[in-house]
Amino acid sequence: MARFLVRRLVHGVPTVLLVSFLVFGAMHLAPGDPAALLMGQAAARPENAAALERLRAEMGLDKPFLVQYVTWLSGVLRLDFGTSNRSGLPVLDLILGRLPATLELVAAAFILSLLLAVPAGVIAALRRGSMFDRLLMIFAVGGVAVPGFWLGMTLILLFAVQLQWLPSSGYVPFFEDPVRNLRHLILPAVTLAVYLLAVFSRFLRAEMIETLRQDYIRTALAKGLSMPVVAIRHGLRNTLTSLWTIMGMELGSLLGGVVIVEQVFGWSGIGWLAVQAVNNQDYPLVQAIVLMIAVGFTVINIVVDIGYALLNPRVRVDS
Amino acid sequence: MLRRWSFILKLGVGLLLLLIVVFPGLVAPHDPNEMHIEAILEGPSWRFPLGTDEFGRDLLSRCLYGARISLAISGVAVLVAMIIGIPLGLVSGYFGGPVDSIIMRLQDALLSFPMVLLAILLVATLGSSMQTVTVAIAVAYIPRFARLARAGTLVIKEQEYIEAARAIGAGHLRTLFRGILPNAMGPLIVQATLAVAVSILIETGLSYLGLGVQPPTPSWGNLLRSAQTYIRIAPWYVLSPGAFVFATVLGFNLLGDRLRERLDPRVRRALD
Repeated sequence: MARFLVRRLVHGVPTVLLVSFLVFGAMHLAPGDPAALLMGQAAARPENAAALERLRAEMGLDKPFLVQYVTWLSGVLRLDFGTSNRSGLPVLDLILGRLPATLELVAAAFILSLLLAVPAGVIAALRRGSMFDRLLMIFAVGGVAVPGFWLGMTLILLFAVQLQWLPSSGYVPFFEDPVRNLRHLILPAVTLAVYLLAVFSRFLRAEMIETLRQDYIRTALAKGLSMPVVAIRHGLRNTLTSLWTIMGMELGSLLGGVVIVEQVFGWSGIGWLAVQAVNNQDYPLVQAIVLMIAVGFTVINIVVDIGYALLNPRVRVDS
Repeated sequence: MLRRWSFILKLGVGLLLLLIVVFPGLVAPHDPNEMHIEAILEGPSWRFPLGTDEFGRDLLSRCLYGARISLAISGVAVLVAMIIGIPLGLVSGYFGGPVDSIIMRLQDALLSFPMVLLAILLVATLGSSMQTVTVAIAVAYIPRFARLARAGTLVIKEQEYIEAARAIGAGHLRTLFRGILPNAMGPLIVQATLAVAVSILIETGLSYLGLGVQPPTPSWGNLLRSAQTYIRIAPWYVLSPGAFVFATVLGFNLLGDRLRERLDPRVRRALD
């Protein structure tokens, strides 16, 4: 197990380094001179040319690309992502201020989808061909096709505009007002959860059907256990290990969906912050957000692989 | 009988879609940019079947022209991703060793970016435009096609007919493109179909964020972006473009699922 762990972690390091290189390289290609941006309108005046050059040298912009990358990377490792071009505030502070909102939304969507997908997938597998099964499959096919932001707007139309049951947009921190926080959370969380519910329930159904064909299931039934008990106690346990991997894979889609859904509902998370940063040409902020999410996603995939090895001993033995 | 009618229906819808993409002017009742000042934010009517927008422009016409933009971007992006990704995967799987390690490391790094985020990074670098969105989607899909091509190559290169081809003197290029690629195409075509569906969602999402196709060029995404401002007084404005996206993506997903049953050998074996 330790060898598997080390190998997996070692495999992840070059990937993370390459991700950081790609992010730095992409931002390096962005138009505009960071020193001129910092100087503002004064940079355009010919008499300030020497000062601009001095500023560029201070910021290390006259150094070769690789030197700039290493300098930037060493800053990142010290959690120094630079300052925002727009506000002048440390980028890390801006991101940490918005991160809890995004984490809350992602967690809510995941939990909601799992709470519904697991029983739905099991029931559909046990009652294959029934009306419930058919409806679930229709939902599964439709759920992955519906654009998240359109679904969000439709939910706003129904629940906020027509019925006026829930607010249409905004974010209230949980510790400021838990009730208002949850009221604002419902629609964006449901919007994100629909896609996950479609994917997870369809996957679970297919896996359960396959699992229920196994010999050990037949043996358990022959011993006198009822099908629902066998399905949950034996079948579901093995199915959930595969679901674990799918969850890791879908997290990437979810992180992309979060960016758009936060915009629909005015939910002030890091997705919303990223879009503002692009519109304001705030490159240090864009760079930091993309890097953190990409590295975070890589780390989560490593955790998922390790978790899968813990759940399924064959994986670490074969490795 | 039912399967025949189902096939005819699907073929008919597909041809209609093709007609819309290539000749939207034949189907659209109005010019998409023509403003009817007397009919601003008007609901659905005989004259404007899906209503009008804030400038009095016919929404049906704008949705139809928007289809061309969205489908063109998605189609070109997926094609570019295939042209670059498939050879990379073939080479990686065929030669193995350090070549495989280097190529797959790069693919792993690209796969670490959620697609929308990768697109945002590229938009920040290259600016918001149709070309940038196309490049962003293509770059996001290159590693996916590369991995799939590599997986197919690893299996196919062990087959006896490949060994026979090499034994009679076939060079690497011939073996790769005449021996391995045709047999690996099935899952790749399935992936391409599903990729078009996802690409449409990404393009509309980026345009909705204001990072993709810019107005006045009609695109489903920027239509929805404008629609949200008027959601309380013109709900049809929100429903129409979204319904077009949903129907198109659903169609491609169903097509991909159907192709998978026919072309993916693993699924065919499972079904048999």
